Amino acid sequence: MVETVFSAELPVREHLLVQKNRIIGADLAREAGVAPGAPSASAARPELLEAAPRMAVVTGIHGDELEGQHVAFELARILRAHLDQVHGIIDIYPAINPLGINSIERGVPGYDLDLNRVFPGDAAGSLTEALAAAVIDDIKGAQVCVDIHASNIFLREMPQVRINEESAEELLPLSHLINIDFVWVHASATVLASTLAYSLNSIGTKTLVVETGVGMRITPHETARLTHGMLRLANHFGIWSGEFGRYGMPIVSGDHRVSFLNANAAGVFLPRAAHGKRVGKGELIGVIVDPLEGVVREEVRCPVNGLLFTLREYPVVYPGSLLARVLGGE
Amino acid sequence: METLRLFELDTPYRERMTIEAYAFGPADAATSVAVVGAMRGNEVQQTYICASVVKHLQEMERDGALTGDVRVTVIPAVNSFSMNIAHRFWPMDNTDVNRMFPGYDQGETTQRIAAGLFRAIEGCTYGIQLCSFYLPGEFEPHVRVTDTGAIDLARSWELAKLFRFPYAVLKEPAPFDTTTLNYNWQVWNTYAFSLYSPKTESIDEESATFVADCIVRFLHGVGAVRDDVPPRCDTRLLRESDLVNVRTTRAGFFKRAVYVASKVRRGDVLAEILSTQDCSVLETLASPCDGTVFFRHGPAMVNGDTIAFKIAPEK
Repeated sequence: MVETVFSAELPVREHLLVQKNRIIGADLAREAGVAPGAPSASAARPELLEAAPRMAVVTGIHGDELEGQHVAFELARILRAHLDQVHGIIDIYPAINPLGINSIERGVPGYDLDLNRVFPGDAAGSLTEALAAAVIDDIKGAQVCVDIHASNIFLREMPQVRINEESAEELLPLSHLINIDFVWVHASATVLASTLAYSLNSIGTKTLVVETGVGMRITPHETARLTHGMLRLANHFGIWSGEFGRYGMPIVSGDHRVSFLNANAAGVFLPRAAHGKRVGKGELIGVIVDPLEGVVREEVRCPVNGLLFTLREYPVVYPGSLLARVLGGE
Repeated sequence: METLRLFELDTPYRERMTIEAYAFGPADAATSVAVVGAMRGNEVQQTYICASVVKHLQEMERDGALTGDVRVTVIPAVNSFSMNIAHRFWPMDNTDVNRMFPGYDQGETTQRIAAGLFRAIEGCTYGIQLCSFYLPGEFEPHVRVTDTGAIDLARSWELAKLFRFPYAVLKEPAPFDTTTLNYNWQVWNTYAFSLYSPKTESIDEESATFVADCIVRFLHGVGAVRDDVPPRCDTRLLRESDLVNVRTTRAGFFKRAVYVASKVRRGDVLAEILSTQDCSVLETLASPCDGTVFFRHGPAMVNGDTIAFKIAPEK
């Protein structure tokens, strides 16, 4: 059942709506007295819904990241067809920033801000803060939440989970279940305290952040794996008893094993190495060329042996533009 | 006046980007002040104010009105690259230079810009940044002090009064503040002040002159300038939480009834929200207290659940 998490009126005959698809298992719906197609608020025994295990799958905080849309669709499709195998509640939130997705804008149109820097929000604050507060209020208390991001339009990423080192102990075992290639346990940064994931983890709702693919695109073979990862995670919490795929164990890495390759010249980056493959120390990752003069401005070589898990997708670069990340070395 | 090149960046398809500064007084002065303008490409008023200050300082230098005891460095436009193409954030990736401090000279482009700027102005005694706010609207001109815990707050409050703004506002830092220039200045032992003016994308001559005069008053207060500019008013110190928000519940045309700086009584009408269909009144916003209009929503239309006004309550 599609339910509204947050609504704010817009000037000309429209509302900003954050919606979720609440999927209630057949047994639970029957016991709680929720008629097919009826909102959960109509339950005869709402306390059963409150007590039921719940998983939240969130995506679309950034309007230019679309990989999660495919996961949301596939997950909803599979669950709707097998409600008898759902044992609790799965809430799917495809678009936390609906105006951004609609207008191909990363932030919230009209506000020029990154929605993932205003959590936990404030119900009495500005529209974006009130939206953030409503989302937190709706998700809190779930057994687990997964916040699916794509990369931006500049970089292609292998499917990965990013975990703040502060919550690594709790989240690492869960990250192994969602069919990603590796887990990046990164150092704590104060600025990240305003993300959805940090805010939920800090109030006891375990939340994993997934990064995959590239901005403004969908990479179906990766999102299909991730969809099965959601089912596998739901199974772990006893919410799903149907089928799911397993795709091995991810590599786990801390910050010290990730090498960043940034451009030192301006121009057009032409990759020479393949994304998602192992690369050797000294290997040519790509070149930065000058189309005006027809010369190579920089040869970008790999500083370590390792896995090329990030590779630049968008060709035009400035000095400083991130070109690649390699997992490896000491 | 010395012209300094603080940072240069090669760019694809355009000329090299440079951050240029204009400095007055001896480079080895024991006391130094840095004044930073547009970090974002739409901060036209902020650049104009800084350029006005440069003009004043040039005139004062010529007239012998600078003491020569203080080094004053003014940077009217950090992000000239965005400004030249009317883009608020960095043209390539839409990142905000003022979310990248203290910067990293081997990092991403805007981290490198922040690092290049910060290397030149870290450690100054006093730092002044001309800022814009993310909510679209007009402010009472004021100075903000962020309570980072890194520097003597009582001293910061006293220094904030030297500007002679009508208001000085104490801000509790949010997580994102840790990557702003103001916050990092304080971490590096600089007394840092953020100045807000009513406009951003257009020039308002009256308020620009007022804010430029406030900066010159501050420069007089710290011993850089011989003559004071007559003070306009005493400064009232406020915490951000003292400001009373007036929020909309409905959306539509925003028909304003009061100006920024207007005195209002509790119950006075601040604005009406009109239907975009037939101009009927959907909502009337009234002041919840006696006070002064501190912030007013700017655009002609307004969303629901939006902060339309902030009122500075009477003492």
